[in-house]
Amino acid sequence: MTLKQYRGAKLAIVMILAAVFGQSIVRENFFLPIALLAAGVLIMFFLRQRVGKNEIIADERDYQVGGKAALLAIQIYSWIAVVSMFAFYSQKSVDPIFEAMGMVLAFSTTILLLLYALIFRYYHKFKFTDKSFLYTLAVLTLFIVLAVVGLRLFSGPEDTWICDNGQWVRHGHPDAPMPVTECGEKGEAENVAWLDIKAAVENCEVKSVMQTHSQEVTAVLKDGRELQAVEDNIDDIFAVVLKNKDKCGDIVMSTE
Amino acid sequence: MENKIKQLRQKYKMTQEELARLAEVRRETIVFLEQGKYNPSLQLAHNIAKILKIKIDDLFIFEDK
Repeated sequence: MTLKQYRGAKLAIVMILAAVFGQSIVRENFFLPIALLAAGVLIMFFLRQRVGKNEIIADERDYQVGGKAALLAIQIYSWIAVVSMFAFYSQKSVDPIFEAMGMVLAFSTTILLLLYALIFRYYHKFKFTDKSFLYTLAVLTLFIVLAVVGLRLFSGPEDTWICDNGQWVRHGHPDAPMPVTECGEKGEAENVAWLDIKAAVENCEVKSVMQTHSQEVTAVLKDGRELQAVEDNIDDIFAVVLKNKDKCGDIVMSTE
Repeated sequence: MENKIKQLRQKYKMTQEELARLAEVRRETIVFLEQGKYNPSLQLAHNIAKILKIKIDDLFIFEDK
């Protein structure tokens, strides 16, 4: 087999695989593409053996360029993935699926970088006790820890109620009771922390409320816990308290 | 890095394809080498120097930085 024929066969296999992959996604059949991929790899391996001995498929220059291209591709992918991950994670209150997408990106990027570091080290015939490897491992661990801490710091409260398919779902361990307002397309866009305070007032669980000029509301519950939120409009909290005065009695109100 | 590969290849009336086959690399690698756009490995430099019957030092023009 000549190199030209080998390249033609490779191109044909790639085109067949691409067509099958596309159809499989549309038809949601994932067994066929995996089986075909395995068959394609085997066929390519077989054909590669049949290429004439005088035909060079790839030489040192290809490997050098391939190495540089792979490194650059990994770096570009990692940067895009990290930025996208933070963007997705910051939007998790809009739709919980964004959190899952952010996590998939975070873990896939970390695994890719770890895999790259391990393969790189393997080709350098290193020992796992080498100082440079331990240093790399420490840097990677620090990066992962910082990424997780960063996500926790910049992604808002973890313990809250999330609206999922029209039902309130507990996320973490929220202090507030389940919101009494309807959860739907409208509810998802609403201020959940504020809804928690409203619900607490309506359930007569609040002892006192305090409002600042910047519409920040603090509600002290009868069991000593505190809830904080930003009300939608100034004095909303007082309107809610007065509305429930007959049911719950006097609630101490204060402002800045 | 400049080199004398093209001159010596022509001296021995060899095509790029023939030199590539003898050095066990692709023809494109010889093209890039002749244009000075690729620095070969020590092994490849040794192979080409041997094929063209010249010392590595004389085949490649090293510039001190």
